[in-house]
Amino acid sequence: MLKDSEIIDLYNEGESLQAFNLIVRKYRERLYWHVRRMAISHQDTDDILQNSFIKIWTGLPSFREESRLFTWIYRIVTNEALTFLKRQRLRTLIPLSIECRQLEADEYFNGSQVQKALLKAISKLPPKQRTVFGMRYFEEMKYEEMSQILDTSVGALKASYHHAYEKIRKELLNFQ
Amino acid sequence: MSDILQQRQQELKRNPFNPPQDYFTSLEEKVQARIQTGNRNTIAGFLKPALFMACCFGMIFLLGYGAMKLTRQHESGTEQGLSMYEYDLVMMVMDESIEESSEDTSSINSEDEIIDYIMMQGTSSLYAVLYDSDNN
Repeated sequence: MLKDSEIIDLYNEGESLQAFNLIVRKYRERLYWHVRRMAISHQDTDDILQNSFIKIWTGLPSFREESRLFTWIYRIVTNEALTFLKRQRLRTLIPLSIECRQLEADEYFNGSQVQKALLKAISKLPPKQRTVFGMRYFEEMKYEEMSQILDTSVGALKASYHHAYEKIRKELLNFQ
Repeated sequence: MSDILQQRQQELKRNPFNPPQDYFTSLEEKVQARIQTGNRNTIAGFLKPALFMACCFGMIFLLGYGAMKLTRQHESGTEQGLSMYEYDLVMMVMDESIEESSEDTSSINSEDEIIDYIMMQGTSSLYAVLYDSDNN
């Protein structure tokens, strides 16, 4: 698989569609799981991912290489997912129960009971905390990298992760 | 206090989902298809709000114009202290008296001139009508 810099070179040489397809192929899986843990339902994840890739395509001409390609792409996808989650919260009075029901009826879920409880606990978090928790706990991303993607200070991210972690730990006390 | 997120992290961090079969291949195709139709959507997406805005401005203009016109009509009828009914009567009688008159009336333009003219002519029917409407 080509390096990010090689993909950008290809794009700058005029092979824009080919370069974009390489980006999709390189990052689709990683981005899917990143979004899936935030949105939980496959259908929502699919919508978010498609919209994000369209934004990446339209934004590529203005990509200035000031940040890494990976960071730039992650920022677009994360913002799209956050916008979706915020909108979903506004649309429904009790979004938590919807996400829990989606999880109960999810034919693509094959995890254990404690994994299901963990996802339910995550779905109760505010969108930003949910994102921070997912990036740190599941993806084991460094705070510095998260700071660039989320445009938030490392200190604020640490505090946010700590809050989220404590809330989830308390939710899962029954599973000791 | 015990920490399940630490103790069972291996299990908890394992991916609990399966994506639908061939999803990632179909995702690439779906994105490609949307890019192909993207240009058409962009034009429509640009035009729709512009048309909506134009319609809104048109409606506001028409409402404003209508309200202004109604107010002007009302004001022009009452600025001499006459009601709309009285104003109509004055105009009707005026027409009659002007027709009766053999003088050149083309120079009469403003309402003040019209009233002066009637006074000079001493059209009795006008005074009769105004007197009646005042009593009513």
